[in-house]
Amino acid sequence: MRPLPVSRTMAIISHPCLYTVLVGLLNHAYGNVVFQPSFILTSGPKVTAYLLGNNSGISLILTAVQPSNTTGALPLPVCAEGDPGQWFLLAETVEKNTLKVELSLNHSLQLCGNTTDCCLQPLCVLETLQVLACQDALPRARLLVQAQIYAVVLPTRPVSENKTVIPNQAFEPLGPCPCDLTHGTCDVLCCCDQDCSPGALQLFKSKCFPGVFGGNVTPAPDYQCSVQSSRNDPDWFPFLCVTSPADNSPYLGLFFQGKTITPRRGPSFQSPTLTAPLPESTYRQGDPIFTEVGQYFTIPQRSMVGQCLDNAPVAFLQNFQFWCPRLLASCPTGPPLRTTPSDLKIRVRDGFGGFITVSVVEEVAGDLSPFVSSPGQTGKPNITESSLFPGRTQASTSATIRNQSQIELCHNVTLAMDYTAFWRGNGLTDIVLVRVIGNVPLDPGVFVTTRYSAVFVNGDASAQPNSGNPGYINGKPVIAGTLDKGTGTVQRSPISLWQPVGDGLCASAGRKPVVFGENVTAGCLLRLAVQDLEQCGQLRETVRTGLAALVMVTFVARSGNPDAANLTDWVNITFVPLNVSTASASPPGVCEDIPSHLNIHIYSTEVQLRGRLQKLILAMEVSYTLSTWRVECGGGDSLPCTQTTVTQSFPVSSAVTFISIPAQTPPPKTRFQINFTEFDCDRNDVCWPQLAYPLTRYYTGEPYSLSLAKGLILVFLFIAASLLGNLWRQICQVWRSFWV
Amino acid sequence: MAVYEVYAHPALVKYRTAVCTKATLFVVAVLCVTYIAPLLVAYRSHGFWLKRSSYEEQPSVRFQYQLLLIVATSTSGDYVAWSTFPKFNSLQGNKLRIPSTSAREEDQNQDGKLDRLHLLLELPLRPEEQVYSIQLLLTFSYQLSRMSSVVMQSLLLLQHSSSIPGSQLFLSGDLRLQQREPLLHRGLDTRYNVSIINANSPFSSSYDLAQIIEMYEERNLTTVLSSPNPVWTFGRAAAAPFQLKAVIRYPMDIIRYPFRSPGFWEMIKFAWIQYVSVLLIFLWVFQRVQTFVFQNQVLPTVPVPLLKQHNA
Repeated sequence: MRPLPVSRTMAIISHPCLYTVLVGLLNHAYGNVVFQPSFILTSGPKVTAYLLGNNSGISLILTAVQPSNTTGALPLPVCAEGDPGQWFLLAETVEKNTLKVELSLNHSLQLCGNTTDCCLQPLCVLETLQVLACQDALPRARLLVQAQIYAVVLPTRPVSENKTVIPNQAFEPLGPCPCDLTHGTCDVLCCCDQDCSPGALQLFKSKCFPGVFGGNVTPAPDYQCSVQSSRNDPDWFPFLCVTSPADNSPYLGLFFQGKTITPRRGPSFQSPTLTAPLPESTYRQGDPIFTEVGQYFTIPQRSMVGQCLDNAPVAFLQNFQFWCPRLLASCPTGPPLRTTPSDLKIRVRDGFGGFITVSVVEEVAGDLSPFVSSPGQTGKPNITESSLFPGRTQASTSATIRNQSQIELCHNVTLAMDYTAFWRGNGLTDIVLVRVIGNVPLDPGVFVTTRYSAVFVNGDASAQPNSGNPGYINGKPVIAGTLDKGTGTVQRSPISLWQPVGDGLCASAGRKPVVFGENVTAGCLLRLAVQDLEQCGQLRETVRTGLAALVMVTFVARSGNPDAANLTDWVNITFVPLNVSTASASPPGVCEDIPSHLNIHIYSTEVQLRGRLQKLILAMEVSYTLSTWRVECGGGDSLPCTQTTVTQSFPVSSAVTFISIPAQTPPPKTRFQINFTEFDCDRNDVCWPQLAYPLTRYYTGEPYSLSLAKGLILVFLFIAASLLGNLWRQICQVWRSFWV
Repeated sequence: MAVYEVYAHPALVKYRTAVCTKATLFVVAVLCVTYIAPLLVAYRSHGFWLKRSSYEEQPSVRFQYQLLLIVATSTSGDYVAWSTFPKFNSLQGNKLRIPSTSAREEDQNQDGKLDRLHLLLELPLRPEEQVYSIQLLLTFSYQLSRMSSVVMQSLLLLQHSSSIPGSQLFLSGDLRLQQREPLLHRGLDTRYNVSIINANSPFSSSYDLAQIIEMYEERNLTTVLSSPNPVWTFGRAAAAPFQLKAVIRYPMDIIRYPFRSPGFWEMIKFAWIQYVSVLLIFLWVFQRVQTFVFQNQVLPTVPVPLLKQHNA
């Protein structure tokens, strides 16, 4: 058994239960007797130890021993009666084989005053005791006790009353030492603590707590002459000083006299009160939608800093679309990734007093690429595969699923939940949920992105929205269309831009509509090899038609709500014809005059219509910028030039520019108008109209009437003062000279 | 015997003239030039009418004891969140983790205005969780009173993220006012005394940090934490909580104030100082000119003979 350190042994003694266990163990281990613990450091007048083992015939001998002066070793244990000193020994059998040995000091620990039974000095006892367990005059076990006991210092004043006597604060400070926090103990660094002995104070005298909390509540006042000399002031300052005893402190009179002010209650951590949602009978915009059982109708939504909340309530008439990526560690077994149609067919309060059930339409995702992203899949483009516009060649789908026979598939994972809620008045008429499911390969580190959306539709869901009434609204799509010869109306179709996705190839790029008022540029890449650049004419035509597909319209709407039948609402789009020199023969790998950039210029203006400024489109121009495409094989990579099938990237792009044309251009300013700013307060800080600024309409700090009144008072005062002085006398003289 | 000037006193000489004379015209012209020219000089040399000014004030700030905490606990999107808004907490489901939060506001110089906030937030974490980023929203009530009484609710966003998991974030900074426009010179301004986070909303969109910050930044008066030196400490013991220690001081701020224009009398006062200082020069010069003209009879006037002075 590992010997226990002394400190731990002493701690165990205070636990009899633990000790009993120890006793049993020790008895088992030794047949002989043993003191436990066998060495004790004590600072109190009582020491307890246990003698374990068969203690029949054992006698205990207590002796005060002195270590040898030369070696410092204790004398060898001898079973002879010695001087027990100021201690006496008490032994008591606790149970069989266990003897409790108790040593007690036989005098009090008070410092000597008027009593005899006392300590002569603060270190009252300093000695080594030895208890021997002797059997047949032979020492069987030895207990050593090192005693170092200090005298007890009692308060000198009698502590008769329970109440603290509060001294008169006018003459004696109530809390003379605020840093004296522990009663009867010297607080470290608290130099005013009366409990600190001078020796202890020496230890930290240079590091006393400063200020009020250092107990320095009676600093010498400024008028004291002693303060003056200690400061860095000039010798004449203060001019006079007072020499008075330190007891005459001006701080003595500063004490609390009983006036109280009610503290203003500040904010704090309030206990959260969560009220249960109260379903209202009808819905208004922004109200939460409730289910039949009175709970929120929830769809997972993104919030905070992009985290998806699974149980987010849905607000009436507030559309949203969110993507929630989740790491797929194992195949999902419950919502939100694994849902069953029966769970989704929730009965919802419709706002008219009845209930509607969510109808679920299932779809199976054909292409998983928008939903599944795996770091393991590397969509490295095939360098020998040409890539043109959508529909021309096979787009290289980078998100092809790897060999599926080796990878576990998670079946019927929910990939999208698109809710369409039909509403009328203050309620819902129907909710349709389109749920997209798919089989997702369980790949380590695969992220499944789920789409959640809700759209509130009133009436016909397929109705085309307008972009303003009548003028365009910034950020709404520009409406365009082609003339349907049969009906004579304009069929709407959008003007688009590339929306590159993934690797940015045109083959995979989507499209986004051009919106009013925003200048945009977007582009995508074609991958072509030398063999593709052989037929330049064909390539030109391919690129041109690819870009022209973005603007497959002939008319653009003048205003935000055009009438399809009224051709005056539409403006013809000007297409700048391509000026291509077809005759030029170019070297292999080079094609000149490729219409690689599409410019769309939209000329808009602001006119006063129906009492406010409306934005209208005046004209639209579509043109191409030509560039030369050349297979680059400098820089050490000669592969594209030597092999006719190795491809390179070529950019095609388009840009939309809105040009605002003022309705009435002001006449150009002359140089004099530009330089002469004396009366133009926007361009000149010291213009003449603001000479009397507070009295003009420019001044808005106070109401005009108020500043005018104040100004008139001033003027009146000035006139009165000047009239009553010299001027008045002069006027009087003139007056008299006229009449006399 | 030496003779010296023992005393001197000015003698008043009066010059008389008829109304329609060159002397009258001269006096009127000099009078106009003396009093109007200083106005033009003072005005045309810029800064005559006080239009913008600033002052210094320590705001009285109270922490509203509203917090919203989002902590990312893995690089793959796991997080824990907590706030003092019960509706937000009920949205979190099993992502909710309640930290132990202590806040103490101190008035160090005993002037009745709080000077600093000590915030300690200890977020318990499972041994496998690590903290990569933290976002914490705090709301304050902010008051100014020297010129215009502004009462508003303001927001601080404490955020930090690191690619190395941390055990503690220490921030020590100042709460600073950001003014997009100057304050009024008087009156009560309670435009922004509205709660920034809608605590009664059950919708997740109300707790979208981007939306909250976007709406907050639309205001003309906002507060920011200027804490240039956040300290991100690595190495969290397995059972130890993540600690956020923040000391946010509420220092003096310089406030631009006349939003439209200062008060009438304030403008007149500063204009008067400039006007009079220029006027004195003109008075002195034209007095000399007048004395010269009349003394030397440049313009014909009738000097009144020096009479014996009566003590009036």
